[in-house]
Amino acid sequence: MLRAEDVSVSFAGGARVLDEVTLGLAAGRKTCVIGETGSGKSMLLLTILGLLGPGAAVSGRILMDGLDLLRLSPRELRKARKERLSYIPQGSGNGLNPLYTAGSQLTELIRFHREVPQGEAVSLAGSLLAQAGLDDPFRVMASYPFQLSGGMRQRVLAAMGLSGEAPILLVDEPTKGLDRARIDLMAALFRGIEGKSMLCVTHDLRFARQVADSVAVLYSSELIEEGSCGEFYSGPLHPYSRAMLAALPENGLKAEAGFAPPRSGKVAAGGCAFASRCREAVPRCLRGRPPLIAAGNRRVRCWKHAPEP
Amino acid sequence: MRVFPERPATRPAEGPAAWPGGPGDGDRKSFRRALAARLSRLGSKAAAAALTVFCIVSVNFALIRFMPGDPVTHIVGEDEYLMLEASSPETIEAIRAEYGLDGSLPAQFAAYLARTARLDFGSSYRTKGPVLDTALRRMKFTLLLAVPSTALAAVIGGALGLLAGWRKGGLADMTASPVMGLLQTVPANCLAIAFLLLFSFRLGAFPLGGITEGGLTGAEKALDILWHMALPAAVLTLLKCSSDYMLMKSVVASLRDEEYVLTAMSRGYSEWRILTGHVLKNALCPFITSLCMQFGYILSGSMLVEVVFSWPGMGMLVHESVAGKDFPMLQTCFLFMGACVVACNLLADALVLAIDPRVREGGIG
Repeated sequence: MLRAEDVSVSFAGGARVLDEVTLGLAAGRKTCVIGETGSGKSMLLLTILGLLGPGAAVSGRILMDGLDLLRLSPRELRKARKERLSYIPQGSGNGLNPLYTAGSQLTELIRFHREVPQGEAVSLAGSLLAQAGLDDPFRVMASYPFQLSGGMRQRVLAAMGLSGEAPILLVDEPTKGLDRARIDLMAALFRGIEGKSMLCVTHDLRFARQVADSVAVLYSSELIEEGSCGEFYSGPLHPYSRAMLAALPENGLKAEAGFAPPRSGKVAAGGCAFASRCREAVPRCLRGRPPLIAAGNRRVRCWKHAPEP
Repeated sequence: MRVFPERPATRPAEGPAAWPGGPGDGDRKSFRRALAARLSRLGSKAAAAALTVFCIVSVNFALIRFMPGDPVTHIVGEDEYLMLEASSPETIEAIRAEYGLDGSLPAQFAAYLARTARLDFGSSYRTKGPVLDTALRRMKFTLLLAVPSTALAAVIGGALGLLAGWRKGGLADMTASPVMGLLQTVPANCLAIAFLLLFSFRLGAFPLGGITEGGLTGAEKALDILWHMALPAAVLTLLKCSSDYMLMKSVVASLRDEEYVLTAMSRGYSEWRILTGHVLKNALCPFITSLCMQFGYILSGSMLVEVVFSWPGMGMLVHESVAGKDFPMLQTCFLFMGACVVACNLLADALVLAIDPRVREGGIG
């Protein structure tokens, strides 16, 4: 459906935000990309959408139905965005234009996708908002974004993302700024989406578990682990994933000693990006960067899982 | 297009609230409520504006009373004053009374306010004629110059700035930015003199100054005035254009990174649609505010251009009145200019109120 191959992104000034990320999204599947702030999760979505500014240098391929999204003309890219991709930005940000009502933005989008009269677009918008779990859709439609709560904005944005026929959903941090109860509602909303592939970026491990079919972990702009949701949560392979899951409240909040965020971006040049924080690091981890190693149906970027030479 | 398990939308019985274009558009109650909110916000702004005008009037009153020297000296001239002081002091008192300069300060202030309210600004020290007529006539000429220049500059500068800010390093940016940057640094009188030298002296394409040759009527007169105002209007337009361009460019460049603009792009909307439908409206608020404020200043700030082109406007009048120590005229000019700045600010508030729902309903600003 959608496949990123060796995608690297760096900005003028040398900051590398994605490093040879290879990730596939199967039809009808939901993949959550997990990672801490600054790991490059949101950049991955912007790269797929071709929304990085002119200052970004992008290499690799992003394949969608035989098309390479990174090599489309502006016109083809617009067509791909309209027909194939649907982006749901964070509800805590201003993904909605502050000067228009939620309703007018939603109906604009509906009428962009199909030629229906305004009245029909309004009823469609109402039912979409109701499906997204808003109790009073027409009140919400008459409201300006600043009059809505973060959770309501997130639902409006979700309804907008689902208003078209696009088979691929790209969702950015849908839980940001929400409390646990609302995160659960949001998870139910996304879990209930049928017939679309979803790539959702989040740093909420519990939300990912509720929603995802498969999970990918980004660390320091690299993909370090990928696998099915069940396998990942029952037995994470990478020491970083293990430490993250161990720190969850239901797993006893076992924060590992010395497991603080890195002081600066990359510590060991040429070695594993995680080596300086890893308790299981061996000399080899500092010498060479591990490749993505297949382990059953999963892949992990750790020397521990490499076959013995 | 069922993506979620079915959950019917139940439309509330009273229908959606006032929502432009929606089926319940014009819902009386909420429409009235929104109108009342707008009017009350505008009313408080208008009250503040009225207070500002009152302050301008008061400062105007104080200015002339607290300056050193007897104002009568300036009315009759120093020699005459000294002579009258010796020969007939009652004449001086009569003049003082005529110009409202006798009695205690509070009494003078009350009388001054009463006269100002009646739009009786007294007589000019220089021409001895009523100040109001002259000031209004000159104001008309300045507006004739300022309104088209401001409007033209806003359209040209705004449109170029919109394109340049949207595509940094694009064609509009690369060609317009150096020119506008240069215009920003050139003083108004330099540009005016350069234009005068080139187009009037060298090429003889435009008149040297003034507003009309005189003796013309109807369409001929209108054309003659247009011909006379071409150069000063061009200079003002160019100067205004550069600041409008710079402002619009920086506003749009910052809006370009806003999440809703990125989101609109992710939807596959055309750039034109995003630019005109989503970016422009957001850029208009700061742009209009600055435009209206600048329009207030152009009334006074076009003095240099008016003097160079001997355009008989407000700026020219101030210039003459300062030279002739014509205090009533100056007072009136200051009052008019101040009132213009205040009125333009009020206009900006009203426009922003109409555009931005956050200001209208959220109580920001």
